[in-house]
Amino acid sequence: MKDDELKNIWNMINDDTLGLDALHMTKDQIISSRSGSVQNKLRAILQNDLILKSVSGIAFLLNLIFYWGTSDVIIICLGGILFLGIITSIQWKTLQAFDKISNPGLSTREALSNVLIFIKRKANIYEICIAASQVLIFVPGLLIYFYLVYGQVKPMTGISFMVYTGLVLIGTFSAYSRIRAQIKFHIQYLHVSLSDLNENSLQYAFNAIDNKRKQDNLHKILVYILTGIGFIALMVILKSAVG
Amino acid sequence: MKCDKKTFAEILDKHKGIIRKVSMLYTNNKEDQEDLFQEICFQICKSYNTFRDEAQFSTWLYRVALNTAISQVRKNKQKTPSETFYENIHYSSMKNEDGEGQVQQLFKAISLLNKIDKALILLWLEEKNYEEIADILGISKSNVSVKLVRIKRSLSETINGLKQ
Repeated sequence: MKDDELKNIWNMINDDTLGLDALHMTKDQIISSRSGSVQNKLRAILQNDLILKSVSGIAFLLNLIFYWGTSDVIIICLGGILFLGIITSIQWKTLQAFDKISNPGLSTREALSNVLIFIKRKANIYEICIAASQVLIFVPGLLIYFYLVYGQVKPMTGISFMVYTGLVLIGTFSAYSRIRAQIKFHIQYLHVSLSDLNENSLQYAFNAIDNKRKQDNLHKILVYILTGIGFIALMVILKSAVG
Repeated sequence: MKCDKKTFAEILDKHKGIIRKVSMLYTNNKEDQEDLFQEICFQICKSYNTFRDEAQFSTWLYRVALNTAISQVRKNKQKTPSETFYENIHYSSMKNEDGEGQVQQLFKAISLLNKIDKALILLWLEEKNYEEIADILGISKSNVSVKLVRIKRSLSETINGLKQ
């Protein structure tokens, strides 16, 4: 088939054949559109988790009111709020940085590479921030439960302590695994698209990732430390409850 | 530059044809097609402030439309377009009697290409030269040339196979 033949067939498709004369869409109508793009899905993960963290913040504040005068719990709540604030601020900055790099007006290679570089660099932060939400929801949730049912922090046996710790670890690990799998899927998708472009597009992205990774190490260490502190906070409250 | 209601209406009026064609090439059914059409419009409006006058507006628009389409992740594994997909084309408006069959064969053949090859052939069919295609996709002119030879050969073979 000759080039002209292909173009002739293509040119049969015009505004009339596409039925576009009848198309009238306003700006307001498209705002409600839903999207399955890699960028939007990755953005949605962070946005939805921020909502969860807001709920956690409210729960910590409620506990401050409920347990006013109980110093151990107040310390835990203040620690939790501080931890939540730092983790949320890192997550918020990540979200803003993501919005800056995901510009569809760039060339396809740049647009895909930018997103791939970003998620490869920030994958750990994504995973840890989202896994941390499990701890941040469980601790104040448990405190509210104790208040509503017993009016105080219920003393626990060693078995209860192990069960609660086990539950939070399972929740954290499953959230971590789930988000890790999602990010891996999106990374693979971007790899395939960049491979289809050829011209060492993937190598270009990998080189950029290596360079940027070195700058990110400090950030990662901070997030690891904070997550560790969060977990220790959980242990302290449960330990004090046992006592 | 801001995308106000008037600007958006002007862009949509002038470029809805290409947005529709991109959304048709990258989806397999009417529902996904509408979603992608709306998403491209949304991204054009959202990214409008990043458009710089040094680039041609149509080049920028193709970039936004194609990048949005390429980055759509669909779990639907269906490779060829469904019957309902073709309902959006008004064949009665075609002057050529064989038009319906030919257009369907072309779309079916393109649907078998990967997302990047779809972008390349679309730009070529839309009369973009190699330099413009290279600029939009961010690859070299020689790569565009090599890929297009392969894609056109593949399309011809598929269409000939569909005719038989």
